[in-house]
Amino acid sequence: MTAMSGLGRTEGDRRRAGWFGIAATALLLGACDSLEPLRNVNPELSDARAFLWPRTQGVVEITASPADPSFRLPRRGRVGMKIATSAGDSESVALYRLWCPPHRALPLYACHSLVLVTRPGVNVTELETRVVDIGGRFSYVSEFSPDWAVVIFPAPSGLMARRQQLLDWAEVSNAGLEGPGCVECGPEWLNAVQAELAAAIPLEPGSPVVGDGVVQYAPGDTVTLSYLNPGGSVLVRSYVIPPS
Amino acid sequence: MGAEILAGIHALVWRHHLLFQLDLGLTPLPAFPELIDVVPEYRFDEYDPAGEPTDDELEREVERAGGFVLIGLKSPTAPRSSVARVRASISRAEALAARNALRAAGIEPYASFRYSSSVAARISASQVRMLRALPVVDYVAADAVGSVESSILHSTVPLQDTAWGVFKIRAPDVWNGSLGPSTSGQNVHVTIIDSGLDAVHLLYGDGPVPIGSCLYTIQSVDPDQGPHCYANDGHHGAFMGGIIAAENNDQGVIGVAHSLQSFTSIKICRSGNDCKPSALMAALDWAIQLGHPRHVVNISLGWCSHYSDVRSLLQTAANTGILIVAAAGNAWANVNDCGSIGNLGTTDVKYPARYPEVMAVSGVTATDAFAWPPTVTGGSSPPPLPDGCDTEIPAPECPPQEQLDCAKGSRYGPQIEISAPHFATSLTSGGTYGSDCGTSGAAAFVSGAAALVWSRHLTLTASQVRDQLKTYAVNLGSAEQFGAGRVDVAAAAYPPPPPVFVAITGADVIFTPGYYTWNSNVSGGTGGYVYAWSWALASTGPFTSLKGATSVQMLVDEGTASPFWLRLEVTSGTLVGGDMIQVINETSNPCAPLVCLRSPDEGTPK
Repeated sequence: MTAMSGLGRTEGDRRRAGWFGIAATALLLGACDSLEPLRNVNPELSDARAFLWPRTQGVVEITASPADPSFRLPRRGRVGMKIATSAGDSESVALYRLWCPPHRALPLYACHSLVLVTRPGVNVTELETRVVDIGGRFSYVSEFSPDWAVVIFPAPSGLMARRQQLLDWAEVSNAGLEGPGCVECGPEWLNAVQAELAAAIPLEPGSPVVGDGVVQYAPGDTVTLSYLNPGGSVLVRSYVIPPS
Repeated sequence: MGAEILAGIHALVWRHHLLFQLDLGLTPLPAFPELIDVVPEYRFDEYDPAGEPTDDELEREVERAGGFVLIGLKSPTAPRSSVARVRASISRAEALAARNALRAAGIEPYASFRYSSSVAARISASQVRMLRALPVVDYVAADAVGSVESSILHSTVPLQDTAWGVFKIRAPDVWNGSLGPSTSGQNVHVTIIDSGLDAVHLLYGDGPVPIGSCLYTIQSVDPDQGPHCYANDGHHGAFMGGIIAAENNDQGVIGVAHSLQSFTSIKICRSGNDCKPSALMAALDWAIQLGHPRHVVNISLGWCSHYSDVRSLLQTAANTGILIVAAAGNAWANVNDCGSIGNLGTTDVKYPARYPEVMAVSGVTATDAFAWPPTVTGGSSPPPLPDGCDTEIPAPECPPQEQLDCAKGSRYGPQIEISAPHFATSLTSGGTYGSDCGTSGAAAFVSGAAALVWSRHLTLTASQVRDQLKTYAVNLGSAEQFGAGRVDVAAAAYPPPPPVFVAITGADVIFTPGYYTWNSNVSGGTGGYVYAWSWALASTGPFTSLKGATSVQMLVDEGTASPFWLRLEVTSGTLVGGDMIQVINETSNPCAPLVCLRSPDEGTPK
């Protein structure tokens, strides 16, 4: 027999009400998650790589490997890195998770890139301007099959929303997500792959403008990534933009 | 000791020679957009002409090195890199001419390096000045291994070994011609889609020049990473390339198909384990565009999920006649390395091997048992050696012990088409050699085998090569584990000829006396038919020989017995086929032929 309270509710009612309250609070917090400020995280990085896709509206992809393969970037966390060119441009980029966790029956997928496939007869490059308009940049564009390209969305990308936008275009046949593959798979890989970080920043020809969020380049420029590890060492990687 | 020596020479080779232009004296291939696979010249940021030794200093260094030197070659008209501070590229023809010039000067190189204009030689210190004065010599550097005795000469690189897996699939029987015309991969192109290649290993020999292709356009200024866009990340790509195509050059290991017409590495993994499906698509694009009529693509990597766009491109590639071979994927004891990131179970075959367009390969041990991960039920750790093998005494058919201590087993399932050795010795990074296990290597064995079969039978299609490998595989039981069985490339390259089929055509009822001719239709066997005609009064003989070849002629008249039997035996190599017909002689029958033909119901003519 449950004792009655002064408000006419049972102990069980109060417990249920308590849980509802917690759940509601959690939902509210969840809804407000995007309002939580981003905070910088400074893990030890063992390596970083830049992939240059110099086009009129190109992009630099950056990936980085934390020294600790069990590292997981916390929600609302980001890792700052500097990218500079020999011509004098200098930009800050924020790295986020390279792979997004499984979501609604989707497997682990790349958070910032997808494969854009057009319907027969549509050359994918015809869509480049519209892709740029929604924040994307072409990286690899198939030279031999004119119907597909890889699109990079600089993080934080809201990839799923962008993907849906692309799928709504009549010319688009698919906007495929990508998952991680491996040559030396195994438990260690499974762990390490989830630690990987990534960033992307637009890459465009032109004179350097420091801090505008775009890396301006000229053919032959050297692009340098630098990251200050917690111990004080600086991780540096440099690449040459191909001469035209 | 050998290992240190090897490391030493390779360190030197790497340092001094990594950065040479690719010698692409080949038909231009389609390139990836923004590809930098050929660096016209390389600036030696580290190069310091002021630090170059004087003749006297170099003589002393060469003496200390026991005479072992590396000689950089150049075009006779090009300035030395010590002057230009730029190492000019050199064509293959110029490199060969320079080597000949060296020989004319009394210097006999003992090693040359693919992708490099340099050679290794042993000289006397007194030859230093003469050597430096030759217009074809860019520089002379004392070799690090020089302090050892001359008996070490052949140990600067490991002597070539044929790994047990190569024996296991009977590749040497295809190379040596013991079963028929020999081949080692000529006229076939192999592409490996992997983590890159190790340029150091490709410096050897004078065989076909591998072609590196980049998906990711990087010209790193970090000398450790090298300028080649196909530079290996980890050892994986080099290892697979070695299993398939390591040259027959008395050094290191020998590949299953070591004389390929051409060989391409497409690096799709950005770091060792960041391999995206779109990168595979780009690589397939390139392979399709290549349009080679005999093209094997090896994919020793995998994904845990299905990607429809990848599948679509694999279908296109297969439809254009490319034979695609992929690893089933490794299985780990009690761990699913697809985990929560994909939709595959612990032992499910990975993508793209799961797709029917792809030939999925599982791994077998040295005893042809399935390569279970060590602690999985049914497995053993380590797996047993074949009878007669002693782990302390290497033998061609015995894998080394370290290969058996393998944590990786093979995935399996209904997609498996064939199996191959799970353990291998091959090239690793930094110019070294090593052992590893896994289905990646198994796939590479099958790719090499496919290249041999295709090279032996140039008119086959990709699907026919695939079928032939499966038809002549050694049946090991469970199709889910082994597919058709363990690959036997000798059996597939030299399939037993079809049986000799013989049919005699000609009259079997004769009404009019005269000379009659019987012809033969013969097929099957190996050709070179030998005909033996004979006849007899009864099918059981005795038979009397007749003169004849593809046909035979006989006089049939009233005096000829009826019926009689005509027999033809055709021999083709070791195969024999035959046919026999009964001939009814009606020439003495007064009612023949009209009555008999018009009134068959009257029965046999009397």
